[in-house]
Order: sequence, then structure tokens, then C-alpha cells
Amino acid sequence: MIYDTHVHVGRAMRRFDGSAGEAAEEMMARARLHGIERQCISSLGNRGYLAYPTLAEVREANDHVLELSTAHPEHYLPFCYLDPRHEGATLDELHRCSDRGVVGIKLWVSCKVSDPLVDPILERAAALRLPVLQHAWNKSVGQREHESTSADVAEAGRRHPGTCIIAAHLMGLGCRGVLDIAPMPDVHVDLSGGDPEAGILEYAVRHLGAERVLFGSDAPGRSYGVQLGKVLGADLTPGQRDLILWGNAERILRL
Amino acid sequence: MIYDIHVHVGSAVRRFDGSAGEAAEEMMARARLHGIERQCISSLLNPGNLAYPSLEQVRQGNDHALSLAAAYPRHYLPFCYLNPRHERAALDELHRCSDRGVVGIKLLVSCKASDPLVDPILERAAALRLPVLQHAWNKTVGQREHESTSADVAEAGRRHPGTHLIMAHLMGAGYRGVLDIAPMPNVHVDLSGGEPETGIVEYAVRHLGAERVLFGSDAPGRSYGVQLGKVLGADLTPGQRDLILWGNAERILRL
Amino acid sequence: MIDINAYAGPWPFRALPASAPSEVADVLQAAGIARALVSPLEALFFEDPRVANERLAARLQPEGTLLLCAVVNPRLANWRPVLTTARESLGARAIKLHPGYHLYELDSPAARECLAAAGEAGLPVIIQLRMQDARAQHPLCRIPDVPAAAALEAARSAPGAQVVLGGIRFAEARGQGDAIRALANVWVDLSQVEYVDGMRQVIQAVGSDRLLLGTHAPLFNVRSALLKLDEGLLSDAERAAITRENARRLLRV
Repeated sequence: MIYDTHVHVGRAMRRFDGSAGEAAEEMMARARLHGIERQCISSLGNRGYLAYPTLAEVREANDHVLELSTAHPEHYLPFCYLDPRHEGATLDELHRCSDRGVVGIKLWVSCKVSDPLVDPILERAAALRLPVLQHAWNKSVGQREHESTSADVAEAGRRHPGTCIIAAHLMGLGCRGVLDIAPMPDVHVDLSGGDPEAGILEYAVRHLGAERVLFGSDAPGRSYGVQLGKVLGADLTPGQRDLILWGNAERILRL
Repeated sequence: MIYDIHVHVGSAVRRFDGSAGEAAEEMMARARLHGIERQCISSLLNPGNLAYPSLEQVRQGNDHALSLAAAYPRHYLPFCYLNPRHERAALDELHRCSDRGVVGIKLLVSCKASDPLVDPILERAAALRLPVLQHAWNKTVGQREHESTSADVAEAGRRHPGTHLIMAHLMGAGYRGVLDIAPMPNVHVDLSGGEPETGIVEYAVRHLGAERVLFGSDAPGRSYGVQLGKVLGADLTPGQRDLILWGNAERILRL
Repeated sequence: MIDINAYAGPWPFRALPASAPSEVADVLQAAGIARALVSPLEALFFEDPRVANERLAARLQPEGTLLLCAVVNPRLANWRPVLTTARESLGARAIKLHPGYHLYELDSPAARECLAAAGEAGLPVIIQLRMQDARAQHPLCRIPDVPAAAALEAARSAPGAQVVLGGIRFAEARGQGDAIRALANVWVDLSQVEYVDGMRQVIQAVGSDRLLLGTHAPLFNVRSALLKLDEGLLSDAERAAITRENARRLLRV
């Protein structure tokens, strides 16, 4: 039973053959081919990935996620997408989603996670015992204005030691990212996205411990097979591999 | 008896202790410490290196090289410096110097070697049986507007198969430079200048044959020891080493 | 003789005749160099140079020719443990900074703290100003030189650190001669110092007690480094200082 902590859905995502209708069922079927039987989904909007969504767009996106997890409760685990720039309304949306059963929070690029605007969300997440999946990337080119780096995640983790933060994209964070978050035991990293570079997973396990590393695919932009190969092809003990593929997710999601 | 094919003189080259007078005697004495007993000199003028010298400046510089050669005929071999932009007057200067015993021609950065302005000089050089030492460099930064690259030297060599061209600065021309000139047996390369990088002398010998590689120092800006180390530290047969240090120079200079 | 500035490992831009630590050791030994401070070339390009330090340390012979010089990147969160464990766990005799390759300024707080910490740990610091002639760099890999003045300012700010100016050029060493002499904690690596009368003039500028033989092997020809000394018409005392005694005191070997 493999958990994929990082999957995107959205009404704008078409079926693989291009026909009308969305890909959620196909995505699920493809994941099961690889033994991925639980997927944490979030929607960054129904008109593509929205970096600065309106409140209405956030709500529509979260409604879609909840709809899918209701339809496939044995497979899809809902995360709610939030934009910290909505301030008070963001917390209302968090509570609305929490009441409807989301198991985590997804933050993307509208606001650096070290920004004080994010503090109320991180505090509330601890109170609600919800992990926060924070997109982060240390880029040579193309860093967005409000896109978090590993230093931002580390700073957020330092300020909120009781909040479980998952820094997305180990391959985007690199060795520097691993070193940045290493001192904060509540900050984890997921393997989603980026190319399946050899060696970096072992580096993360060495510096963070396998307990802080989670498998994620970033599907559909990335493929299950390629992303899973990062784990199955790495030099890990069976125990480490199991933590990364399911043990840590079960612990963090309190399943 | 080592020949140094590439040496700069000029009254701007001050004595090593900074006192008045030029360093020609000290340069010679220092060279002899390393067994360098013949040095091909050209004057890039007083003061300093003038990239676009006037005719008067060229004449002054050549008179200076000739006077040093006359004073130390067993050590200094004079090359005459020409600026192809002087067109017919450059040829007149060549004949004036040739009549006074220069053994080669030096071209720097006033005009690319592939420019048709240089053709008359290269033709006349063949007729006078004088080798042409052409500065060249393939630079990542700081290439001058009229500075030859190895492609320019190759083109000149292609157009003038009867002219002995020596492309200066193997370390500046690099691997690309070696490959550019390789098809033209009349184009040689000197080792002067640049850092004493390992491996490239062997590469040049492999692709050009030791017969087309000549030792030169580029003193005083570079040191004899460091530059000679390029040859003495390279993986060469004694025969190859001898060609580079003196055999080729004697053949090309027809001594 | 002791070589203060050598390397081992692959170089991405050309095939080096010697690359593995044992090959570099052979080349140096053949030239009469008994001890050489060697740092990993991969460390220039690896995100975490510690990995490169460990790989090189594992391939060095105990009590052999090569002594580890560990590369530290103060811009990374792990620089302090890398520094503090360099000697104990890897046997490093010095550390090397590559501010140009690792993208930091020597006046940044982390770099200053790193220098001070190296001083407290008794590890000399080589600040490498450049690896190659800028004109010869790959066009898409143009690494800026580190100004000698910035390295001297860093040394001035950390009087407890012993700073070696690695890859300094002749004109820089001569131009900064007074500044170097005024700082008791600065040495000059000769690996890229070159001028026809360069050795004499650099001795006059900074004093033979501040100069250290460096080869820049395996990137540069070792013979060039040694012939450069011959050319300097050194007295026996000067030669001993430059090729051995200064480094011996600095590295405590």
C-alpha cells in the first residue's frame, strides 16, 4: 500500500485521450498499476494552476477535491488549497474544509511561507493536527516572486515547531534544501517532481532520517513510474523504503 | 640550445628592479639560465603594446628590435612588427626590415589574419621565406574587435599554403584551435602565454605532429620557467621534445 | 618540498593526465614534492562539498603524500559541522574557500564567521581567487575571480585565521604587497604567480616568509611551478622557506 502525498486534480485536466471529462479516474487507475493505493489530492483551481486565486476560486477548487474524495473514499485523501493573502477568510475556508474532512493543507506560490501572513494558518494547522504541504524550490532560473525556497520553509518550521510541514520537491530543493530544514524535526520533505536524479534521496535520508522523507509524485505533470523509481532505485534498506512509501504518511496523516 | 620563438622587447619593458633602462640584458641572462640561447624578439612599441600603431611607431619599434639584434647577434633574432592597415607602406616597411636582416614577421591585433588586407603580407612573406608569427586567441571574454581567432589563422593558412604561419598561444587557441589549423601543414603553433595547463601540449602533438609545435615564452609577461615547464613536464618522447625546443625553429628560421 | 595548493578528481572541461589521488601523488612525488595539500575538484561543482571531501578523504593513504584540504561553503547550513569535523573525522590540515564558485561574498556574515571559526580550530584557510584564466572558461560557465583586496579584507577581519591567497596573480601580489606585509596572518600561494622576474619581485613585495610553493596540479604542469623557483635565483634560505619551512609551520607537519 503506497501513499502518494502530492497529486494535482482539477476540472480543467482532461482525460488522457483528450476527450471531454476529467482525468481523476484514469489517474487513479494508473496509480494502482504501481501499487499506489492512497493519493493526497489538492486542486490549484479549475482553470489551470492558479498562483493567486480568488477566494471563490479556492472554494470551488476545494469543493472539487472533496467531491472526488467522497466519490473514491478508499483512494483519494483531500487536502485543501489556501491562499494566505485572503487572511481571515482563509481561516474560514480552512475550517469549512476541515469540517468536511480534509486531511491536510496545500500552500503554493501566492505567498512565501516565511511571510507573517502564513503564521495564522501554520498555527491553526497545528491545532487541527493537519500537515501542511508547502511547495518550495531553489531555482537557478524562474523563481517566482512569492515562491518559497528551502530557507523560507526552514524559517516557518523554526517559528512553528508544533506544525508538521512537508516541503515539496526534494529534487527542487537539492542538498542545500536538505541542510536548511535539517535542524527542524517537524519539517519533512516529499520526493515529488523534478527529475529522478540519482543520489539525492540517499543524501536526504542520511541528513534527515528516513522518517522525514515522503513519497509523492506531482502527477499528472510527472509520472508515477518515474517518480516511484526514485525510491525503488535508491540505495535504501527495506525499512527506510517502507517508511518513505507508506509508514511516514500513515503517521503524519494519523490514519 | 633552446629557441624561444615569442619574446617581447621595447623600451617600456623596464629593468626588473624598476630602474631606468630596459630589461633586454636581464631578459637574456634569465633566459640563459634555462638554456634558452636564441630568442625571437619583436617590439610592440614604446610605450606598451599599441594595438593600432602608426607607421612611425612601427618603424621605431622595428629599429629597436634590429638594434638589439645587432648588439646581441648570438642571442636575439629580430622579427619585424607590421600593421596590415598601412597597406602598401606595410610592405615597404617589411622590405626595409628584410634588407636589414629580420628573420620573421610579427602580426598582432590590428587586423584579423583572415582579412584581405593581410594577404599581400602573407604572399610577400612566402617570397622572402619569412615565417609569420600571428597572435591568436579564442577568448570567452575580452576578444578584441580585430583579434584573430584560430579560425582566422586557419583561413589565412588555407589561402597561403606556401607561407609559414605560426599561430601564437596554444593555451589561448585551445583544443578548438588545434583542430582548426590541423588540415594546413604550413600552419604551426607556439606554446607561448597562458597558463601551464596539463595535457594540451600532448593533444597538439597528437593532432599536428611535433613538427608543427614550437616553444615560445611570451616573456616578459610570462616567465621562462613556467612556460618551459609546459614542454619539460609534458608526456613527450625526447625526439618530440627536441623538435619543439629547437629543431622546428631551426628549420623554419632556416638557420 | 610541500605543495600548498593541489587538487584531485575529475575536471569537467578537459581530460587531465592525472586525476585520481594516487595519480596526482605520483606526479608530485616524481617532481620531488613530499607533501601536498590537496582538495577535491568536484567540490567546486557539488552542491554540498562535504560529500566531495569525504570521497577524497576515503581515497587518501594514511601518512601518504597527500594531505586533505577540505572545501567549505559558508553559504550552506552545514558549514559549521563540516568545518569542526574536518580535522577530527577526515584528517584535514586546512580548509579551502571557493567564493567564486559557491556564490558568496567574503564580507558576508557567514564567510566572516567561518574564517573566525577556522582560526579557532587552528585550520589554515586557502581563499582560492580563481581556478583558470577567465578567457579560457567555458562560455556558459563564467566564474568571476575573487578580488585579492576582498580576501585581504577578510583576513583583516579575522586576525585569528591564517589565510592563504590561493591562485593570486603576480600583479595582484605585487600591488597588494604592503597590505599583505601589514597582515601577520596572510600567505601567498605561488601557483599562479608568473612574470619573467616574478619570483624576485614578489619576494621583494611580500617577503619570502609569506610565500608558499603551490603547483595547481593536476590542472597545471608541476614542472612549471618548480622551474619558476629556479628562475627566481633564490638563496638557499629563501628556497627552504618557500618550498618547505613556511608551509611546515603553517600546517604543522
